[in-house]
Amino acid sequence: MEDIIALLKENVIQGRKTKDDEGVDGDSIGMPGVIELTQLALESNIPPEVIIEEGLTTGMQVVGDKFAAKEYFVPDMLASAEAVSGAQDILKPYLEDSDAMSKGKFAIATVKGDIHDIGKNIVATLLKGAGYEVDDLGINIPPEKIVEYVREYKPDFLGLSALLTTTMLAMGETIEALKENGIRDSVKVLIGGAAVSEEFAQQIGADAYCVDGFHAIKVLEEFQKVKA
Amino acid sequence: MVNMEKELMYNDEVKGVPEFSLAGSIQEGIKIEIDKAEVYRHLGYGREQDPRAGILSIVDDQVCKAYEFINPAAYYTINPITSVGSPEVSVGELHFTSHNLAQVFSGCSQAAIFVVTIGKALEMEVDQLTKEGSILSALVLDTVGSVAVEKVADELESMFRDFAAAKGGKISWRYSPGYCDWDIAQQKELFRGLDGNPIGVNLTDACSMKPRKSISGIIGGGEFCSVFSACRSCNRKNCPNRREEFLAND
Ligand code: B12
Ligand code: SF4
Repeated sequence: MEDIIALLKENVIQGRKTKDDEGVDGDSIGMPGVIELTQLALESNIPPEVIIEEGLTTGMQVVGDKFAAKEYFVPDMLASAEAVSGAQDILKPYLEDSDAMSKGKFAIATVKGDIHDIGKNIVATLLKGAGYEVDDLGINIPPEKIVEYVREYKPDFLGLSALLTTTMLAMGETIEALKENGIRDSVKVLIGGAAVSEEFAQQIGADAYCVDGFHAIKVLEEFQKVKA
Repeated sequence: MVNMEKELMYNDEVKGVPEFSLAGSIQEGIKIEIDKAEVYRHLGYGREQDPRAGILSIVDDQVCKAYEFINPAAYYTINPITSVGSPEVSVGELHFTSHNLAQVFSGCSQAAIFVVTIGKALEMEVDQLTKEGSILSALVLDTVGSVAVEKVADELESMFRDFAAAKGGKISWRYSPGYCDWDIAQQKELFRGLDGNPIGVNLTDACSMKPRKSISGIIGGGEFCSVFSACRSCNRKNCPNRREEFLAND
């Protein structure tokens, strides 16, 4: 059993989703990847909680460290996050209490007027890999839609993305709309994207500005600590 | 780089029209090559640090595939520069506000207003990969698209350089709304100068271009034009995009 978990962790670090993937170092094609190992672990009656905590999460922590040390870059960590996110989809039905395993619900959207997709998708994949339940609302999402969503689904966190100085203004509008509807305090708002900055986040009353997905993970951990 | 196909194409465009008053639409014949090193840099790898083997082969695959989805096109109009104050600059009927633009235009008499794109096929494929959950491949292909459209703009620029050189002139720096002190909202004014561009690039109310992989801008031209870098006199000391040769205390 330890072997499977160790292999799982190693393959998370290598970013090998399936046996057909080369992995970051490119030398293990044909060997079982994260998806196959997760299935194998389930067949070997390893509890899904153990698979997640000792295989997936510890693997992702190493990936985070490598990223911080500039040994890994966005594509490398994305490969890992994608593999973990695939494994989580397999494990979800086996979890007795899936809410207990989730670190919280994170909704993410590219704001009104902005059609930029890729930055948001990277953050979504990474947070899912880090154990958050992620809901991707899409691109060009107007404030009303976001208000409606927050009211109905009560996410813990809301991520807003914008690429341009013209479209980032819609982030402020979104926060105002949450206030007007009396639900601003029900959710922590994180913003990111090429044009925005720490100062802008303060100016519009967002809870945090994040440079990238890993920064978001750190910020979310801080929020959890404060809550606990 | 002299490319026969390109030369023929230019001649076709230019035939019978005085060079510097023409508007041109180039939808065929722009040949670009994707520099993988550029792709690595855009993906965040440092100059000295190429991606590891597994990522390299994903880049190889996506670059190879990208050629199928790239349809380079360019449209431009050439206009007289009617006045250069700082920051007010007029090009034909168009009015722009940017100190940097005024600097870029110093010594220039003409300006090409342009838009280039690689079309929407590539981003549709990116969306498809995203839907399938292949976010990494989607990111890589998207990045290849960014590098490709920059190459298309480079090609257009080199065409203008040839145009100008043929008349004993030079061209300026290429400059675009949204950079530095040129407000991105002036995309609206710039697009007025590209009226009904036939290559299918549209501007949204928020000044975003569709297809995403498009670049708009201006290039000045003239006898006394110099390649001026706005960074030299810019006072944004901590700008992360400052050209290395013009460091803040320069
Ligand atoms: C590549 C690029 C391009 C490419 C592709 C653009 C595209 N839409 O696909 C091309 C060459 C086509 C291009 C064109 C233009 N560009 Co451009 N471009 C960039 C560049 C270099 C990188 C953007 C990118 O794709 N990054 C990769 C993705 C993955 O990163 P990301 O989206 O930023 O997301 C990451 C983080 O920001 C963060 N994040 C993002 N969202 C969120 C949300 C949350 C909640 C969190 C936690 C984190 C987070 O995490 C992500 C993952 O790490 C930026 C400068 C820069 N360094 O960012 C300029 C930049 C965006 N461009 C700029 C400009 C001006 C333009 C043009 C308007 C120029 C012109 N007139 O033609 C056009 C507009 C194009 C259009 N469609 O309208 C300016 C915008 C400035 C402004 N005023 O708004 C920038 C900022 C450059 C600059 N320094 O001035 N561009
Ligand atoms: S320093 Fe930065 S803002 Fe100033 S001209 Fe150069 S790139 Fe633009």
